[in-house]
Amino acid sequence: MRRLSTILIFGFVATFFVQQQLLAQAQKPKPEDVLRKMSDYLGKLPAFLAASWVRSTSSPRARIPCKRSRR
Amino acid sequence: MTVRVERPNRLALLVDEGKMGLTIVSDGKKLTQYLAVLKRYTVREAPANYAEMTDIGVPLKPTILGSQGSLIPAGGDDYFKRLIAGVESSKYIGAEKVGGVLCHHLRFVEKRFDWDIWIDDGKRPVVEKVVVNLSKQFADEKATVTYTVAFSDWNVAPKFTAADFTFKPPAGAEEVDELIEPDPPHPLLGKPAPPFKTVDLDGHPFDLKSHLGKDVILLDFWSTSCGPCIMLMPAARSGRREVRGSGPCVPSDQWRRGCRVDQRFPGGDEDQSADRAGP
Repeated sequence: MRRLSTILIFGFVATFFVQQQLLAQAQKPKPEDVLRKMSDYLGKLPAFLAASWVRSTSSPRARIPCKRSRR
Repeated sequence: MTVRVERPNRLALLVDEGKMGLTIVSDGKKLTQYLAVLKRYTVREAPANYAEMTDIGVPLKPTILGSQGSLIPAGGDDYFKRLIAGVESSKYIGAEKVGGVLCHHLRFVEKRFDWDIWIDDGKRPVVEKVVVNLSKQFADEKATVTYTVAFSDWNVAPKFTAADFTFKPPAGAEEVDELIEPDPPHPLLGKPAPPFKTVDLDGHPFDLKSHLGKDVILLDFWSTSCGPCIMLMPAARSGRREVRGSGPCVPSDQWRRGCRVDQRFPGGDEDQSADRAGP
């Protein structure tokens, strides 16, 4: 009896978890749709102003087996 | 960098960070492109689209998706198609804040790189940040190379004046026909390389003379902060593999050289060139 209860509880929890996952997945917007929305919005603006900066990041020193330059 | 756009074709792109310094101004009739490092500028008829306006004859540092055509987030159908053209898969990562703005965080996977984009979740779905991850190209070396482009201070209803789209040549600037003239052929082109000795990054002595007539030497100088270098990497890598597969060794290769260059950058595990350079 105790074993059956454990199985049933586990089954309920698993079903609930899967349902939540499916629900969360369904609520997520499609990336292409969000990108399209941005493009449409920007494309329709008669004018805009924005600032921006670019930064490059690299981490070869930590991972590539090479030594310091002797220059 | 500052971007001012007024449709159909007025533009002011001012890249004041980095070593090159780039100004592109279109008053709707004339397009001016100015490279501060060369103190040269060109003037020609203004093209109809913003992608053409940013074409200065050489690839700029990757901005959004490694393409200078995307330097300006102009939007529209063509812009969307260009963004999505090479995408193999996509994923909605979640809702995240960028600079206090709640955004959709999306990831797009392409063959040569992945890119993440954060788009404002509010009434103004503007791009707040893009991270282009080029690490796929460095998979053999297990290195990480990324570019971050952050946007801020969006004004979607600006009141521009004619002065906002006027270029005033700085003192000493010269008007030319071509912004960047091709280099004349190097005098050593087609001739034997001059002998040199050095020490490689593993500390082993290297003497070009000892490889004469035996090996093919590919010596490339590059940096992660150099747009053209990054864009040429697939070709360089392909060439390296081709040479390696055909016979003797390639003792000096661009990856080690690049490693040396990167070591100039300060930082801990995560070196940051942080050059904030434009082109």
